[in-house]
Amino acid sequence: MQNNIPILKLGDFLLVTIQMDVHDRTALQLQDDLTNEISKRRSKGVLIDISNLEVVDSFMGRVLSDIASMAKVLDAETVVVGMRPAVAMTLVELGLSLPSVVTALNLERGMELLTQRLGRKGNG
Amino acid sequence: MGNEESFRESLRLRSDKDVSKARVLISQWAVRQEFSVIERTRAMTAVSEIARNCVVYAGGGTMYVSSLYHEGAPGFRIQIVDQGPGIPDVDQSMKRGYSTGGGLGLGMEGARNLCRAFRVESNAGAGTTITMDYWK
Amino acid sequence: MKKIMELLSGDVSGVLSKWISLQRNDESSSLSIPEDEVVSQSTDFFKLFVRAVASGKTDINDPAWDETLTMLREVAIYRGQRGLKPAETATFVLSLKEALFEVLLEKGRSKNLLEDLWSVTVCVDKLGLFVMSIFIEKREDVIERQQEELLEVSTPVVELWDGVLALPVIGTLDSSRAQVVMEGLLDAIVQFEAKIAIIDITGVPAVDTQTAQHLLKTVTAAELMGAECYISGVRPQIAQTIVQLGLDLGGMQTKGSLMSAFQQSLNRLGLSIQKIDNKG
Repeated sequence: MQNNIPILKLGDFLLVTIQMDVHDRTALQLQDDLTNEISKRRSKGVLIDISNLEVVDSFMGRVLSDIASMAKVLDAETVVVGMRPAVAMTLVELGLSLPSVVTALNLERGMELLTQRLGRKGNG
Repeated sequence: MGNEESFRESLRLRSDKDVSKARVLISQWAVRQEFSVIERTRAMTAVSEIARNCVVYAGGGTMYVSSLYHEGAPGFRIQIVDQGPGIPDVDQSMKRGYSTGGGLGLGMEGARNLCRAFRVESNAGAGTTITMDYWK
Repeated sequence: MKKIMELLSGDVSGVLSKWISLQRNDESSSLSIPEDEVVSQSTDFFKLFVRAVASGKTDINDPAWDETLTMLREVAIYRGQRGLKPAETATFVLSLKEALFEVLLEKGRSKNLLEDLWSVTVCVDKLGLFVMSIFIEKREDVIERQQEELLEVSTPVVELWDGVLALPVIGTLDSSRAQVVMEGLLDAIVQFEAKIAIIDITGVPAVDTQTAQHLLKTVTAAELMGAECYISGVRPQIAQTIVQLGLDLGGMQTKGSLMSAFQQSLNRLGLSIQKIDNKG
């Protein structure tokens, strides 16, 4: 059995770092854990770092989309960061463009983007 | 000299853990044959799709990987064999959006886009064999 | 082979000088390598050859021939690098046959003359084939490397501004080139931590369905990585073909020129270009 993916609290945000290979069940578990955590901590933003992930197939793509949509319902923004070039190309060839997922190049950019988006929301 | 032995490996596919193992096995083949990162990622992703289909829809099966040469270029052949219900309409299953389970319905067609050659042999009630070839 | 050996050991220097003079007199030879190189290569090779023959093994795949083949390989590479023609390299080995024949005819006069001639022929021909295969192998390496270099050189990614990359594509984007172009751009986005990438197609003569698909794929992949992507340099003819072919470029932001794409990029980054007021 794979260990659950840890969810770290980073200021107002939650940070999830996905490791090299993830079993399907572990990915679904993350979906559960993350929604619970968002609700419990009233988090406004979620960063999912996939820079270690070598494969995003249609299943993993759906998990990422679902997490983003679920977080939205719970009033939190999700940014997926660090997608590798080869993974991005493969996803496109697979026919997936993850329209509901906001992406950023790396963790730092993801933080900037979240802060910016949340700031805009707060002001508006 | 130049007398490379053809090499074959197999892996039982029964659960999502085995789908992970299938990805790792293909990654090793691609690294051994010095495939580029993008080619390795394509192969791992395609295998992930087909191996999962096998576990989810056919109740499991077996994956075979063997070396091949295509017009002198080295590569490998992946075969995923199951004894499941078979695919009633192969052509239909290759269409975008087709799905019998909870997926996005990209599995088969997506995997086909990610390999050099793709073949499906299926008979209703007699299982399915999917063959995917990769070469440099 | 034993017989040849006996003959050779009798007159090693005689055969060697005969062989060297044959090489020198060869008409096809432009001899772009120095005379003393020819002599020293021939002398070294001949020593190894005599030793291999002395082993009594006629099959050049036998370990007894290893040293000879290694030397021959070096000779082939050396000559190939200096631009000698294949025929000139082959002559190095094949002229040895003639030198050996002459010795056989002069001194041999044996009952087995025909047999001896035959074994010399077989052996030297095999060496000749070996040297040619090395020669061709090296040539192919060179061609392959040049092709790769050409692909890389023709698609440089340049940094226009902090976080803004441009990829000026020149020439037709066929599948294999598009692959290299796309991978290069995506890697550069990571390397330069780019926010915006501009693909400039001013130098692309025509856009067909395939090219459009490659562009669309690159743009989508770049966006998945978190970068924005513009296509610039769309000429009127190309705009017309795109519409006439019914190609869907809906997912792409297109700009007429690299300049307007760059302006748009600066806008996105909250930057602007101002004229310096010198009167102040």
